[in-house]
Amino acid sequence: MAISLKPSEVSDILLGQLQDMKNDLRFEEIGKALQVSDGVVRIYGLDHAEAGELLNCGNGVMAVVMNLEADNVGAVLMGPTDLLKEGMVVRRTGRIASVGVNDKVLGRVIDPLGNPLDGLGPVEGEKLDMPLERKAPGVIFRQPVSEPLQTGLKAIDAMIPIGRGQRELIIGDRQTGKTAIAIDTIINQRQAFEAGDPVYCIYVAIGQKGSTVASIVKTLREHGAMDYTTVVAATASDPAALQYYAPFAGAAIGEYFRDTGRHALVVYDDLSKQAVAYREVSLILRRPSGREAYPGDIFYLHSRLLERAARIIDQQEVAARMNDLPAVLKDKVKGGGSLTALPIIETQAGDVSA
Amino acid sequence: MISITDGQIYLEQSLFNQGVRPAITVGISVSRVGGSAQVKSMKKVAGTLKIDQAQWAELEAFSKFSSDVDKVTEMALDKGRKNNQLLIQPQYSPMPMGEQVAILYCGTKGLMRDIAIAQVPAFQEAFLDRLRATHKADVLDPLGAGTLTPEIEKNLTETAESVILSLK
Repeated sequence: MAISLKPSEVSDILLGQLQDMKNDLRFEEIGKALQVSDGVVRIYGLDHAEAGELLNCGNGVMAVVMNLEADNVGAVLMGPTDLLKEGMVVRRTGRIASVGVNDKVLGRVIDPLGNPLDGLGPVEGEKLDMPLERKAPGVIFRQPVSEPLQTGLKAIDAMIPIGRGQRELIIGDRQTGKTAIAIDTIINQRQAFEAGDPVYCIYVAIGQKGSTVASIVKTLREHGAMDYTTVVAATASDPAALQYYAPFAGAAIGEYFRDTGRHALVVYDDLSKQAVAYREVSLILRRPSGREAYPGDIFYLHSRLLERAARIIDQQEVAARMNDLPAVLKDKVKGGGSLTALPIIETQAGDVSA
Repeated sequence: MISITDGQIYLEQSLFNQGVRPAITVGISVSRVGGSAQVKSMKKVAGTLKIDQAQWAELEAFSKFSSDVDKVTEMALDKGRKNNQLLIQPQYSPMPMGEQVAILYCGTKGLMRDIAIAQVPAFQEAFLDRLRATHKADVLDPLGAGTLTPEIEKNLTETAESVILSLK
C-alpha cells in the first residue's frame, strides 16, 4: 500500500520545527574537578575564572575561587565535600560571592549565603546582592565618630564609651563574659529602636555549637531584640569556608544598612575561630604558613574586615560617589549611616599578642 | 589585633571569679575615639572615673601588704570599692542613660560615704526607684539627653541623702 505524502504537509512540519530552533550560541565555561580534598576542590579548565567568583559544582554545592594557578583553579566548597566526585563538571556563574539582603532579613537566622536556617521559609521580598568581599570606604567618604552607641552597661558607657562607627575589640579568656557584653549591647538597642532611631544589629556566630546559637537566638527573642536583629550562623559542623565567610556576610549585611543612611552594629563572635577556619582552608590550598601555622595574610584578613566598619559622611553628594559600590545600591545610597563593629577574640591564658 | 581597632575591652578571669561582672580590667581597656561621642552629662559626671578606678585597683593590691593605712588612703580605698560595686551589673539588664548618669553621680561625688559596701546594691535600687517615681521628667530625662544643671545636681544629692537615711 502506497503511503500518500503530501509535500506541502511535510514542508509545513519541517518549517515549524526549523522556526522553533534556537540557533543563538551561548558559551558556558566549564571545568572538571581534578581533585577533591577536605573542603577544597581543584578544577582544570576554568581559564577565565575570577578570584572570589562563585562556582556551581553540581549537586547543589557552590564553591568560591580562592587560588588562581598556572594550570588549575583552587576553590573552597560551601557545602558538603562528599557530594562531589573527581571529574565532575564545574560551571562558572559569573557572579561574585554575595549575600541577598533586604529589610526582611531582620528577625531571621541565616547562613553566610543568605539561606534561612530558622525554618520560617525563604526571606521575602526582592533582595539586593551585597558582595561578601568589598573594599572599605575611602578616607574622604568617612567622618569622625560623633554619636554614642549605648551599651546599657555602666562600666562601658562611663569609662570606655563606644561611638557609632567605631571598632571596639572585646578580648578575654574563655568564660569571662565576652558574649554577654555583646548580647547586652544588642538588647539595649531596643530603646533606640522604640525611640525611632534604630541601630540594626547583626550577630555573627562563627564556629559555635548549634545549641549555643539556638539559646542566643532564644534570649534575643525573649528580650524583643529580634525585631531589629539578624543572626548569621556558621556552626562548628559547617564547612571551614562557610565559617571563614560568615563575618564577611555580616559585614555585607551591615553595609546595606550603612550605605542606605542607617546605623548598624555587627558583632563577630568570635574571630579567633574564623582565623582557625582560614588557617584550615589555607593549609589545604597549600599556601605557605607562618607562626602557629597561620597564613601570612591573617592580619590582613581581619584588618580588611574591620576597616569596613565606618561612619559615612553626611554630605549626600560626596557619599553618592563612594568607592566600590555594588551596582544594585547605586541609586539607594544615603550619607550619614554607620557600621559599628564589636569583634570578639578569645585569648589563651591572657595572651593578647595573637 | 589590638593595633587595628579603635580600642579594646579586656576581660579577666580573676575579676569574673570575684563577682565583678562585666569583668572589665579598667587599666588596659580603652576607647580611642568614643570619648568625643559620649553623652555630655556622662562625660561631666564620670570623666575621671576610669583613671580613679585604675588607681584604686593598684592601691587596693598594694594595701593588701600593710594593715594600717592613713585616713586619706582609707577613704580613697572605700570610695573605690563602692564604685567598683556600683559598676557591677547583672546580665540582660541594660540601664537607660539617665539612670546610669544619676547613679554614677552618687559614686563619683562620694555621696555613698555613710553606707556600708554591702548596702550599695540596695542603695542603687532604692535610689533609682525614688528617682523614677518622683523626678523622671526633671532629672532622668534631661540627664539621658545630656544636660546636667546645678538644679539637677541638687535634686540628685537630696534624693541620695533621703534614701541613705531610709536605709539606716
